[in-house]
Amino acid sequence: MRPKNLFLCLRFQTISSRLFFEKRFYGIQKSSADEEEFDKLNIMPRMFVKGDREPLAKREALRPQLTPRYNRMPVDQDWNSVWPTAKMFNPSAVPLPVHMGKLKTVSGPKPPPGKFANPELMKVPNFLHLAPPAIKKHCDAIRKFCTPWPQALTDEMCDKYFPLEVITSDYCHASPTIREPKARIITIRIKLSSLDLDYHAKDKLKRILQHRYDPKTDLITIVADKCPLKSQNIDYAKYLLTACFFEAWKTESWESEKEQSDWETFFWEKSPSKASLINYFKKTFQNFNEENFLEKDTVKDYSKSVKNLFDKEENDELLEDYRKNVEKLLFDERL
Amino acid sequence: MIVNTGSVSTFTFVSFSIPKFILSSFDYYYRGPTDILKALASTVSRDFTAAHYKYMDDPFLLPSKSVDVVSFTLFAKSSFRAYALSKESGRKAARYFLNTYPELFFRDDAEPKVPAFCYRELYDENTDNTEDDLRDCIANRDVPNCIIAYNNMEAKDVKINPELKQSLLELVCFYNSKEARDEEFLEEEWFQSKKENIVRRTWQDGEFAEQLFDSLPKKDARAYCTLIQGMGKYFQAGKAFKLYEEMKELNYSPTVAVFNYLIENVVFIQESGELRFEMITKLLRDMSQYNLKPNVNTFNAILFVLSRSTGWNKASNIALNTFAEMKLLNVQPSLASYYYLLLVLSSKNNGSNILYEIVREIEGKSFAIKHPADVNFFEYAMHVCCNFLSDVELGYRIHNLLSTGQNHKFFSTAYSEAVYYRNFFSLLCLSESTDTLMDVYNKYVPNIYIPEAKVMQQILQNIELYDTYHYIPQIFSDITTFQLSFRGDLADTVLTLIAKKKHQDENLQKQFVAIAWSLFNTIVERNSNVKIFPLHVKGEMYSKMILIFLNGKDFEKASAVLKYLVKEKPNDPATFIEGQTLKLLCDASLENKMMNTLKQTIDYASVIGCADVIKHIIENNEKYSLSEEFIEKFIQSSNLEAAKEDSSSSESSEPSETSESPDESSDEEK
Amino acid sequence: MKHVGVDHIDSQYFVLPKSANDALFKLSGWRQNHKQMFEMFEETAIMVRKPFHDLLNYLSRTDFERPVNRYVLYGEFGNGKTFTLNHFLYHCFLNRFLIVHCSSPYEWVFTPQETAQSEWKSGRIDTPVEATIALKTFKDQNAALLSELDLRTSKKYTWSLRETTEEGEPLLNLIDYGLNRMKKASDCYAVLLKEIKHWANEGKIKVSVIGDVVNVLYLGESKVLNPDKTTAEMDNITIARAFTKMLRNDWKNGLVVVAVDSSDSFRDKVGRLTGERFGPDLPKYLLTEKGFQDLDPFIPIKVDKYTENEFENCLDYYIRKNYVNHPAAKTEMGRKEIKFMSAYNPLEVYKFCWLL
Repeated sequence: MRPKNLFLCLRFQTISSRLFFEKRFYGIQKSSADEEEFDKLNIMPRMFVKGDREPLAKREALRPQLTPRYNRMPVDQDWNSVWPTAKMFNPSAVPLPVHMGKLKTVSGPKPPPGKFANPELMKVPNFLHLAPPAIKKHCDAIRKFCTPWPQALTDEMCDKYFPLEVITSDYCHASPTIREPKARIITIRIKLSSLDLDYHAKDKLKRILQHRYDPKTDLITIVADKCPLKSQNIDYAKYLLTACFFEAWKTESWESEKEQSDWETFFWEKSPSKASLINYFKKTFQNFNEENFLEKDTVKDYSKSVKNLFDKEENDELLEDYRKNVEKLLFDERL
Repeated sequence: MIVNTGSVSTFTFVSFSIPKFILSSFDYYYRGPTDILKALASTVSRDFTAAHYKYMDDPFLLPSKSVDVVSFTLFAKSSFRAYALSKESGRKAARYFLNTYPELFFRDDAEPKVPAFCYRELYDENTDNTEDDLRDCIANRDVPNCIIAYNNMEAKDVKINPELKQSLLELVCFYNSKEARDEEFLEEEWFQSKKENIVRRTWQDGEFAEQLFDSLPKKDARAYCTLIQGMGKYFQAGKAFKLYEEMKELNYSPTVAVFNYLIENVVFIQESGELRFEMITKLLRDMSQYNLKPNVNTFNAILFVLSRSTGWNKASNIALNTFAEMKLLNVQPSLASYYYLLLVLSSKNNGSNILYEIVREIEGKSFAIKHPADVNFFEYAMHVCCNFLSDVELGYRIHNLLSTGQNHKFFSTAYSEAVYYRNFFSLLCLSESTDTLMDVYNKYVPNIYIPEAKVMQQILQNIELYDTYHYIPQIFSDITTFQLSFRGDLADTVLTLIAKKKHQDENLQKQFVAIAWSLFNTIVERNSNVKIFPLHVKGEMYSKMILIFLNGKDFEKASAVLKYLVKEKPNDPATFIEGQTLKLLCDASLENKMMNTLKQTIDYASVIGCADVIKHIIENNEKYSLSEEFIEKFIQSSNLEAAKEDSSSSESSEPSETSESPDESSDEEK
Repeated sequence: MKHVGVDHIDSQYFVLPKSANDALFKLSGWRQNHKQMFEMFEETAIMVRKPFHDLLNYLSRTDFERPVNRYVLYGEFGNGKTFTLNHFLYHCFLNRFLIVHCSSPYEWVFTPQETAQSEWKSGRIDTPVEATIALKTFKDQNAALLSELDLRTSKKYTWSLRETTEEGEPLLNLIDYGLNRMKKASDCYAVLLKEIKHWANEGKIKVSVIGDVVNVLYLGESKVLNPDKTTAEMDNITIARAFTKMLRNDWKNGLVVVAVDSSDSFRDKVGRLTGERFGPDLPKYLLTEKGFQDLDPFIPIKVDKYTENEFENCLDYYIRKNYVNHPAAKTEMGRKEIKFMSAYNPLEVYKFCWLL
């Protein structure tokens, strides 16, 4: 079918016959003027004839816009009502001059862009719904669902009798499904001190746990997300903890082979520092008695300062301490 | 709870009790699955700075065009309506595609399944239906499917439980054998231009409901009651009463709801108020015979009938008596009762005072909807308050009542909400100071309410009255945003207001110049564009603009207006500006030594036949020390012989005197 | 023991005699920018500072019958470790110590001008040019003392089939041989240090070993390539190995003063080893575990930035020498500003005053 005919098929039913003829005539004229060229499909020829009509979008763009609504917000408004839940950043609703991001231009650095049309601000999660007064209100609202905390159960008792902490999370979205894959991830936490361990086992457990143990808070944190269900993950995490615990108690044959780089702490007794010191005094004094020598306070002080240098972060005070102790040994020490 | 600590040999017992929540004997109630969410939601109050959540919260995508109550055609163009309806039509389109091509939507992540989002099967004659199908359809309120399923089952002689038949009858009677309204799509109803008070017969005679009733082998009291209620709901008064008589003969006892509908239908049986009331009394007596106690809807029905017969002189008395009866029986009135009472009483001029008592009675209460007419109360109360009583105190009390609890939901359409706010603002404009008015204005505009041109006019009048001109820039920017600038004579009002006097505050005056300039530019733009419907602006407006520019000492803009007039509208008598303004313009151009403008002014004056202008210049020539030659040249060039003649004998002529006096005053101002 | 020396006044400038400077630091000792400064001031002036006094104090308490004491100077870049070292070197020179001085070990291990396979032991690498310079430096610094003491070799050394150094030959001959036969210079230097150690143990001489930036010798890998294109270890570079041996305390009648430094070029190298980009300027970190093992127990001596008094003296000296000309710099406010801008760091003060 020729496209011209297709065009005729596309007309509206209500079009009058006069218009119909006009259009057909127009179409023929076009084709006769340019025989070689393929006819254009002209769906709305009236627009084409008038030609100078502005497109709708352009006219709409001239429509005056509202000013951003933060301009009309009173100073003492209830922010909780304006921003009740977590949502994407909306520049027109936030009465704060927020800036974020970085602009790289040829002319040099520019200040960070403002809040309007700023994708950086939209990407990051914001906590505008969690202002302290809002949290207070929420707490007050759900207080009626809570029972009072048992009086006898103090924090210390909690630590003592309920050392294991299981952290789970539930998600509530406005989406068709109530399932959320992230809900399976669980965390268990326990204080290392609440486990019954000797020196070797404690050290070994720390080595097994690696980054899962935080020396600052003394907490063991195990996150499990392997299994599809929350309860399975809790069981799995508990299993891991148990396995680590019993593994820590074992002493393998190769554990005796550890070198200085494997030491959890600096052992001066085994270190070359001790050897070199004894060597020094053997050369200095003919009747050198190693056992008596090691009992001396100066030696003990010295060993302590060397240990500190290795165990702690080196600084001027530690060096000064080291210097004093070395001085005593090198210049004043007699048998 | 007992915890064992320590080694095997020594036990330490520590005991404390952990309260068990659900089983506890505390007076905590059972917690439902959404109770916590509801509690959290209760912390959030209404945010007046935001538009309704169905709109996108973005200045570019929020509606800004008003709902115009005065002319319905413009109401149809409201962007509130357009945006909301287009969103809904999107949803409808999605529903259409789901129903037309269900096979394409095989992926459904929802868990658990949401039946509302699933494809609904349509039955036809060939389907084998069972009782379960029918039960499901009734549960889903799917009337067409119910009817098809029932017919299929009848045709195949499937036995149907009479209880099921009864519930089917209830369903079809409730929905008048038509498809139930989809509660997903409410916007269309919300944006109806005016909700009609449908009090006419819409019952489908001889349709499925009646067929089903007829086919029942044993018609019991419940079946009768159901059908009468259905007919009563859709005002098939005659048949309803006939069935009622049948029922009485069969000695079946009807329910209260049956009587409620019958009382409402009295309107169609009897014409005069007196006869209607007689019939109501008869029905009420029947009721007491059957040992039935009236409820709130019984009284609402009585009041409804009374509100329909306001011509009857006893109507108001009886309405008050009905209310007294309600009190006696300890029946809590709904908002509809008050609405009808107000309707009955406010038809008489002296009766509007009842509103005070009503408001006193219900102040501070939060209502739940009980009757379809409940939603009319606030709109009508504000109407009465504004148009009959004009009492701003009462207006505030009604508005406070609306703000209580969830009462602000008592509007059935956007139209009635707009009417309510229009009346409220009109009331405020008439009796409040501008500061108070603007406090309310800032709270509700533009998200809850966008003022119409008429209300804007009233606000401007208020500003004029209280001499608070500093609000004009804000109001004008709103007028522009809401595209009201050239609606009615709003632009003219604004210009009149700001041209009225010269303002001391330079900053304010500058803003006024900006306002006038933006209006002028809009006019120029609109009129230069052939494609847009042109604006017809009167000469007075141009002269006011010139006056504003001269007051703001912006001579260039003033001359620009003149230039535009000379160039574009030289021969349009409607746009001729006043001679007084031309004189001022001449003075200003002399002061600024703009001889071109002076010439243009005089030329223009000659064209529109304003001879005073030349006279004015000649009289004041000493002030500007113009040479005789100069004036001579001017007069020649402007070819105004008549003016010349006039000027030679001008000392005694009257127009010159009148032209002098305002000129002096303007000099003083300068 | 009693010291010979000029009267050192605290935080004042001490001018090194030109003859001594020529003798001691002709080939090495000062870096290029130091030389430029001295040229500009037309004298070699060193400020007498606390670390120097500390060293003198330790020196006076030293029992030379015990194994040698090691002193490690540390401090931020530009705080004057090299100046203190050289000042102390001059002091040792005056007190008739035999001086073994290494001012730029990084040239030995990172940027040797030539490298050659050792003929004496396969796997070792010789650096003839650097070794020659080291020999020459040793000869220059100890010329007077060597001729006076008349040290002789304790063993017979066979260099090749024909060339040998007999037992009992003067050490000067050994040095001269090394200087003449560049190929053998590295081995000569090693032998020389061995001989010195021997004679010091015998009690014939007192030796002062002085090394700058010695932490580069403990970095493990050098930048010198083996014949098979692998990088050679520090220990395989003959003269570095010999010098490192001198830092151990298995001998007596001597002392070892070294400085550790973290100038950026070495900092990178250290950083790569330890995984830190910018470590502290502290000796344990800079020496690495190996260096610490070698030197422990040592006496760390901190070379700090200027004190208030020292800063004033320094600026007075600069003004006296017309190095600082700007009138504003001579006012109280100007001094405060220089203090602030330089944060009392001697090198920064010098750099900042360059502009004034």
